[in-house]
Amino acid sequence: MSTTVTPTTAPLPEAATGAAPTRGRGVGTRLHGLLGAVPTGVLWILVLLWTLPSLGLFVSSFRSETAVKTTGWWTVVTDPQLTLESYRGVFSSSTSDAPDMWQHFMNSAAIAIPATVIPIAIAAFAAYAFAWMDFPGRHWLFVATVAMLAVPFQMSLIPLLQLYVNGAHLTVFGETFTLLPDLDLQGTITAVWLTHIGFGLPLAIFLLHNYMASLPRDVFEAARIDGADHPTIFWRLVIPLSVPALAAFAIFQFLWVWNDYLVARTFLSIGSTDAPMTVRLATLSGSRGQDWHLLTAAAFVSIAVPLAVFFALQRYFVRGLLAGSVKG
Amino acid sequence: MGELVSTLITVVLVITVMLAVFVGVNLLVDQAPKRFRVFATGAGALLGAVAGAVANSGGWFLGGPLWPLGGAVVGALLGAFVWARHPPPPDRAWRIPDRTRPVIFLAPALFFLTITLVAPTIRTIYLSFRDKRSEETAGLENYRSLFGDRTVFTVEGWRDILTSRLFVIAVGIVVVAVVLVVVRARLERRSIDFTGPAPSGSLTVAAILAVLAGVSALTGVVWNNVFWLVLVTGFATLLGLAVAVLADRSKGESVAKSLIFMPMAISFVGASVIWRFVFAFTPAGKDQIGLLNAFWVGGGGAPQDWIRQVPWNNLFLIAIMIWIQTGFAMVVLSAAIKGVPSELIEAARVDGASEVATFWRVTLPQIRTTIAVVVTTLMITVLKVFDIVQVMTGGNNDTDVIANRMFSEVFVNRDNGRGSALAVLLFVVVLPLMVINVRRLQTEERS
Repeated sequence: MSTTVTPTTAPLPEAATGAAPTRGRGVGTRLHGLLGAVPTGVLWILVLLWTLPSLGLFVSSFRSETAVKTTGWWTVVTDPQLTLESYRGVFSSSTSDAPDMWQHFMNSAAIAIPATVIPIAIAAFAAYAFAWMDFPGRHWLFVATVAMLAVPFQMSLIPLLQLYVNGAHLTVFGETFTLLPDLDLQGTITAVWLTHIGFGLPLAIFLLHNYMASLPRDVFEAARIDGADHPTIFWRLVIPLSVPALAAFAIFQFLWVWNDYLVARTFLSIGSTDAPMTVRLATLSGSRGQDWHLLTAAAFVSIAVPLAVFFALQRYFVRGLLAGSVKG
Repeated sequence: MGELVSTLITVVLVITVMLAVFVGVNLLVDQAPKRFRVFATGAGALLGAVAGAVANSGGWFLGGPLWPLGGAVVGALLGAFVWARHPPPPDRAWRIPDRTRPVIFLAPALFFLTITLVAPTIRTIYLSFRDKRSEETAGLENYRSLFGDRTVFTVEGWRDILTSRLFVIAVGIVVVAVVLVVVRARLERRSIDFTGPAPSGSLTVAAILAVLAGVSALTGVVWNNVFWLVLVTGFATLLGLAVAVLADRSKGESVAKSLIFMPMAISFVGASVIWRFVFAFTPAGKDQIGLLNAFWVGGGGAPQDWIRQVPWNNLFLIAIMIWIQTGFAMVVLSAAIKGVPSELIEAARVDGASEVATFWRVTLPQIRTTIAVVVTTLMITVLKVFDIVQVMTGGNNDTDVIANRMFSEVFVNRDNGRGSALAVLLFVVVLPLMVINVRRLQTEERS
């Protein structure tokens, strides 16, 4: 970026020295200047296009019910009447069909926090083993883990549903073994975050492995000569050094789980009080028309946390994205 | 609130127990070379507990939790009195910690991966050959009924493509491009070359028009998925590349990129709600509240109910996904463009290459692998599109896609057989992309 010589400045010195500028050159310079502005113009038009829809929702959420339903949000420019009515509406739990977003906000957090923290712990062990331990089958096991990045979650939904309802049993020669007991998880928040742990692991292992494997070998050899064994190296050396990668994955996974709809919708019954915000929002959106004003505020509440995380920690998020831009 | 607090307590508990077990097992294994007796007792108790739990897993015998406990006691005794009496030779005992450590480090991850991904994948394939309620074997019946279902897959109407105006224009563009390239090659006595910006550009436009012609003529879940795949992947990559290049030389680069990237942070459901307001429709004569209709009516058109306009409604849903994914493509490609060595660019400039030529002949070949990564990643994401369709139309008005149809098969029709078959269909389509990913990983490891 810094190395580009801007073409528009090149003809200027000539004009400044007073060399009689011919008519054609004048037009040419101006044309060149105009052409030079085209890329920037196109860029900002795209930015405007990309921003307007979100801006529309944001503005609408501060308008009154009748205003949202009868006039376009852009009329605020001429008729600026803003109110918090919609927000009051979505946070209330007075009527039976009120969105009560506060409750669903808590549910989203109750799902996203364990689904972010627990995979980090599990994946860190595995990533370390893949990066710095020698054992037979290491390569193929890692390749299999990476392959799982692309497996569609749809492949897991029906069996997991059955697992959470019935447990897992294997019948061999007429004898039934219970591999996993029926823990009555279907319809609970626990089922949702347990599922997310498994779904998040391939990416976590992949990201952390790549990072850990890139740590300089000398550090490990020095530590080993000093008599440190694997657990010591892991706790004292690798974990502190891997904080950027851990943070990158944590942000990525948190946003992913917070924004997830499919898993929550599958394992929680519709209209459940345990539903996260995405599920509530989708139900609200399904009700045709009458709740539009609430929809604006509810949608904005649900995207507020990801947006805050995103703008505050964008660099880590981008790092996670660049390191492992493949997720099932 | 209560739910959140109890979850947080659970998280702390789970992590504590996990770490305690992890540390404990590691300490235990460390005892093997030095104090084999302690190791043998502990390992025996552990194995015994597992054996006891498995033995009673069918619930044949009374006394539930007593079984693992009893197993632990028996195992510990066996370990202490039999194994410890006949310890392995010292050199083997010394190798025990190194041999078992990878297992200890990998066990939790492999456990979760097996339960949530590996075993379910195998079971879904199995279920796709069973009937509705998974009770009896159904052979290929699920697949046969799916591909016999006109709402899932049909080639009816493919002839309409050939007569559609879009397709005719696309053919025209291709013909003109080919003629121009050939004539130019003859005049300048060079070999025929379609890789220049102008021929590539016009062929791309022709391809887009041809796909749109397909949208106008072909219906069904499978075709819709194809349209999503091609249009989202193509447009998100192209627009992402465009923004990355345009922003690379502009003033407010970081602001512009942040704003384009922002939709990536929004859930698909949230994005759908945002666009529901853009596509909103009110009958003619009233004020339009949707942005698109406001522009449309402002330009003299009659207000349209965009998401009900078969077959073009698909394009409006696809636009939402493009809106979300362009930021992703832009961020990854922008990083790649900044990674192109500046000496290469300058060398091209010194040789008198124009901006366009420099980009086309120097930058683009340098970021080719990154483009491939972006394209495969987008394809994997788009193939499984579900949320947007579910929230915007529920799959009605000919907008259904595989993932959404699978959901309705399972939860509305209660047909696990067909649901599984649809999941397997998705899986089979994703497989080649998976292979590409693994291949890429292996070449990266080698280099």
